Amino acid sequence: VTTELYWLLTDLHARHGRYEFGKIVQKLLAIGFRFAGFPHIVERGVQGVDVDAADDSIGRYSTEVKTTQKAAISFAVKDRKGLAARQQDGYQPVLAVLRLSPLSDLLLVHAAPLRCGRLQIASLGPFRINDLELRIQPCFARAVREHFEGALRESQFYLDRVLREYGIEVTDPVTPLPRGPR
Amino acid sequence: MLIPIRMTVRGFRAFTTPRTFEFPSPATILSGGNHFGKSSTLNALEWCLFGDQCKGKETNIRERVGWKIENQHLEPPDVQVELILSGPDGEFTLRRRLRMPPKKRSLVEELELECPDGKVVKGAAAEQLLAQRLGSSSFRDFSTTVYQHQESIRGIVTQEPTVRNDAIDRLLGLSDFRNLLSGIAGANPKGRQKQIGMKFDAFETKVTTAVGMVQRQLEETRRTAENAGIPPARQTEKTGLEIARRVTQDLQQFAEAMRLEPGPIDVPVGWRDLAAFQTKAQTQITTMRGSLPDQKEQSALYTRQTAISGRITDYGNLKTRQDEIGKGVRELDAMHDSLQRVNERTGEIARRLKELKAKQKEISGRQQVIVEAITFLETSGLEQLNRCPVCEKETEELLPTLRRKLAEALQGKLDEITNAITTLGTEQERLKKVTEAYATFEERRPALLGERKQLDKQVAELLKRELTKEDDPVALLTAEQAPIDARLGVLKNLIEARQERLTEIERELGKVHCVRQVLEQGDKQQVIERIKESSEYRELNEARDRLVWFVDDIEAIKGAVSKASHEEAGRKLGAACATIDSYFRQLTRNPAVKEIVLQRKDDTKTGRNVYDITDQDGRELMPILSQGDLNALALAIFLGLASSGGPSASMGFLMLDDPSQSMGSEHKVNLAEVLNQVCGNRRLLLATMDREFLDCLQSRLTKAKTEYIFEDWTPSAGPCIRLPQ
Repeated sequence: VTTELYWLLTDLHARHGRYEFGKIVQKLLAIGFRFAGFPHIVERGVQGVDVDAADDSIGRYSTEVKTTQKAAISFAVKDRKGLAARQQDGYQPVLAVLRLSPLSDLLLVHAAPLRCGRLQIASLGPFRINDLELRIQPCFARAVREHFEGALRESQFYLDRVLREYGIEVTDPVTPLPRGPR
Repeated sequence: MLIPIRMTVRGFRAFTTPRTFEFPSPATILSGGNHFGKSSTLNALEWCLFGDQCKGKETNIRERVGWKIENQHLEPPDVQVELILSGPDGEFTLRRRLRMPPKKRSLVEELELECPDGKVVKGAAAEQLLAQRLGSSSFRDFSTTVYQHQESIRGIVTQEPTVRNDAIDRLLGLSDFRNLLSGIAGANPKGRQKQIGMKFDAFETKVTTAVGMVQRQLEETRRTAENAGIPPARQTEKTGLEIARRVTQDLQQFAEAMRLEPGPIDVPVGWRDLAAFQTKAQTQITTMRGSLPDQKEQSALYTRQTAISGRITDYGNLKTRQDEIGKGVRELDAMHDSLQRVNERTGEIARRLKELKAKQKEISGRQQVIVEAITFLETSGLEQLNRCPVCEKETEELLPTLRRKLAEALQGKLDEITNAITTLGTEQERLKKVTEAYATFEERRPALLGERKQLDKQVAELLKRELTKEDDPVALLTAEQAPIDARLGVLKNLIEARQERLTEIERELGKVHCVRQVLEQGDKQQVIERIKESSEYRELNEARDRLVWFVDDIEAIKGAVSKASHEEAGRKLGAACATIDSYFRQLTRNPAVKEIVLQRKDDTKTGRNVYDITDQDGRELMPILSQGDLNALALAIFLGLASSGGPSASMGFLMLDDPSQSMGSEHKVNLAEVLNQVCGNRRLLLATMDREFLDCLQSRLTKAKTEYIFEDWTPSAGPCIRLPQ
């Protein structure tokens, strides 16, 4: 990521915390897929694989998103099973890994050959899907820049709204709290 | 299978002169007391096969560290062992020699191999050929699977699982697999990969810290720029260059207006030129501040103003000093009338003093005479007591009279005169000081006059006109001050306005500085992106990816080796387990152990084999067996596996050195019976010092035997060996 993007992401992380940050990145990635020209995108807030993106010419990708500040991520059996289930529908299983570090990039790696457990991010290099990364990384950066303020302010509520505006199917959207006197 | 036929030993350890051993029978027994050369015989065979591999730390046999091959009583050392082995293609002869070549200081080992076809191979080629014939069996395999060396075999029954697993793996001929897996485990590729990852993480942490620091500085410089009037959106190169251009124009206009020529200044074209521009512009501003035209006049007027004030002060000081003198003289006059009166009084006192001193002298002379007369009268006889010593006139009561006169008249008068002199002297001194005070005042008057003249001259020069007695210099000077003050007031306002203009330009220049700082910090932040774009970083990432593949490959190799090792161990154990169990039960006849089960498991971490030795109920046998039973178990495993193949498959013989150690009589009988069974498919070379066990062998070993009896040993002759009668 560029340093500019790093600081934007760092601000989001600092503002919303680790869990919420993961959800934000997932939604921003879904927007990134839209920017990259994928016409059909499904973003799943709770159940199932995080993001499905399909395009007749580019391909069909089912993506599990992992964010961390550390050198390793946890690839659980349920993640693998979820991706395997999507694979049956013709989706290529992808693991999107974002390490919040100035030297790291948003990695998109083939999930099929990965074993479950704790995976060193450095060991994912050989499995990177370079053409997909080239396509998605700038779009993800754009999504972060364009929706940073809203995400910082309203987090998932804002991004769910944006996803719907972009025509992305959102399952399990975060229900906004009713407004009223505090 | 290789079978030893004959061996000739010379100069090896206990041996001095050449001795030959024939191995024609299924069993060869070396019997005799300790230190008679039995073990040396077995060792000689071992050395002939493996050379230097037999000694040193790598053997894992303690006594082999610092082990000497050569006999210590022969000089120079010359060791030779010739071994004839029978193989599948006929007999071949090995000759291994250790000798000190002429003019050399260290021993040299040589190997010669004579093939069945009579071809002789030497050196490395011989070693290679021998290794092939030994079926790649290493010394460590030999020392655990062919040669039942106590220390090696002990590993089988040790409580330490790693050592036990290693020993059993070797017994099973899996040492190559195990070595490979140990090598992989020792190389720890995953650990190293993790270490590299950690180093990279440490680098990333440093970068993150640095980026954070730069970010904080950037925020601070942005705030500073904002406070200087540049909103964040305008903190750009374009703004910096715009301001720089404006500053350049302002400086030029100002210089023209002031008729100054500060020199050219380059307008920056990129933000990196801003630093040089800033320095140059600041220098120009500083120079112009000091060289404004009105400032010269102001400076000259300040100088004149200071000089006039100084002279006015000088006149004031001079007048004060003159007043002081006048006042002093007036005070003296008030006290002493005048200097003339003081002088008259001084003269009078001098005359009076002269008179008094003359009188004093006269009285003093008379007093002297009377004192001497009194002294004379007091020292003379009574008859002269009333006779005057001067005129010799008789006078009544002369001495008392003289004493009275001295006391009353002369002495009193003299005191009076002395007092008067003292009083007059004091007065004289006082008047002298008064005179001096007058003189001091008088002396100061001409100096003051001189100073006044000098001052007048200076003022004349300052005012550029002659001063006459009618002029009041102080008034003239005061009159001169007024226009200067007025002009200075005008100049001050003028100069302040111009300096303020320069300050304004300087403030603009400050904005250039702020923008430059923001741009510089931003540039520092970009460094991180340049790191990622560098070829070194890309190469590093590629290397890390290659490392991932490499580690994956190693893991795959490890998995394959591990699987092969597991399968081989399973197969061999399956074949030997029943024999081991049978041998153990025959050896011990322990009623508690009805069956021993040697089970193999996987060590998931290292991929190596792990062995459990349990009884029929799955109980661990190691903690419950006696020492004799443990030795029996080790022998059972050794003999069981040796009988059923393994790395010793290429060797058609087993060597046992004192196998009955720690065994009771019953065990020894049992061992002899078991060896009888083993002897069915392997030749035995057995050394024992145990008479009881030898008897057991004689009675229970039904196969043909060749016995060598080691009767004695001497340093010069070596072992004394005989055949039984």
